[in-house]
Amino acid sequence: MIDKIIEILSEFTELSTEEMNENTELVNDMGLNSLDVVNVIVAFEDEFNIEIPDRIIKDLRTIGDISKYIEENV
Amino acid sequence: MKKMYKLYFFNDFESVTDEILASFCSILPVERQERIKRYRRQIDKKISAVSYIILLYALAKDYGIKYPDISIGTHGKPYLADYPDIHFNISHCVKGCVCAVSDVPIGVDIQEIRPYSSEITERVCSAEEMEIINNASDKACEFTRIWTMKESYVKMTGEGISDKLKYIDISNLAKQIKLYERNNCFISVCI
Repeated sequence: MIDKIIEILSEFTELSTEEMNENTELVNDMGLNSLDVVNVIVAFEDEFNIEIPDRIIKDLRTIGDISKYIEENV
Repeated sequence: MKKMYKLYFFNDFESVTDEILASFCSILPVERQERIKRYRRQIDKKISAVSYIILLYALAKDYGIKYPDISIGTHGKPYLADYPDIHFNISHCVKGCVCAVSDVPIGVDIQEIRPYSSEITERVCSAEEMEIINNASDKACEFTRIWTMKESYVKMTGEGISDKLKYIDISNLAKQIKLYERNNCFISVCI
């Protein structure tokens, strides 16, 4: 799951997949801005066939947060 | 009474040499320095440093505050615990960073115009907004304009997104929001 998430995120950042782990923060480490985050969320929704409510987005700070959310809701 | 604010914008990242970046970093809080070190791209380091520096500049210049103690609110919005009547907000994109300061709650967002995506538009825009975009000659431009307006509103409230972004219809908020265009970016300020 984490590997798949990292693979998707790697398209939005210049970080290599080796540099990303479950503690990597989308905004603080990857430098994503607000619109980038929406693009990322939509990419996960498409990949995992899941809906991620807008109000949850701010709580999904790290790759680990995203992984946990998807696992619990898929 | 008219609400006042000041907006500070910086986009000349090329002029920020390694020496200047180092001197900026030397006056930043440790946590910020650590965050800057973690960025791989030089541009991300510069943006992160400059965003904070222009806030320090604005607070010093407009309010005489030299060493602000910045706290983070429950939903992630930074604020000055010691100065509840001074409000600020920061935003950045690769093409520039912007800082707004005011005596009322304020939100600012900057976004470079990117290629249009119908999927993203349908995800975040209300029906009215989608109609405006679909009727526009430049959809990418129109979407970006609407996006920054929504974001500046959300950042002004500091509450985070409590409901669907689609339900925030900017045509209701247009009076509170001023729009600027710089360097192929839109900047929205919401008070």
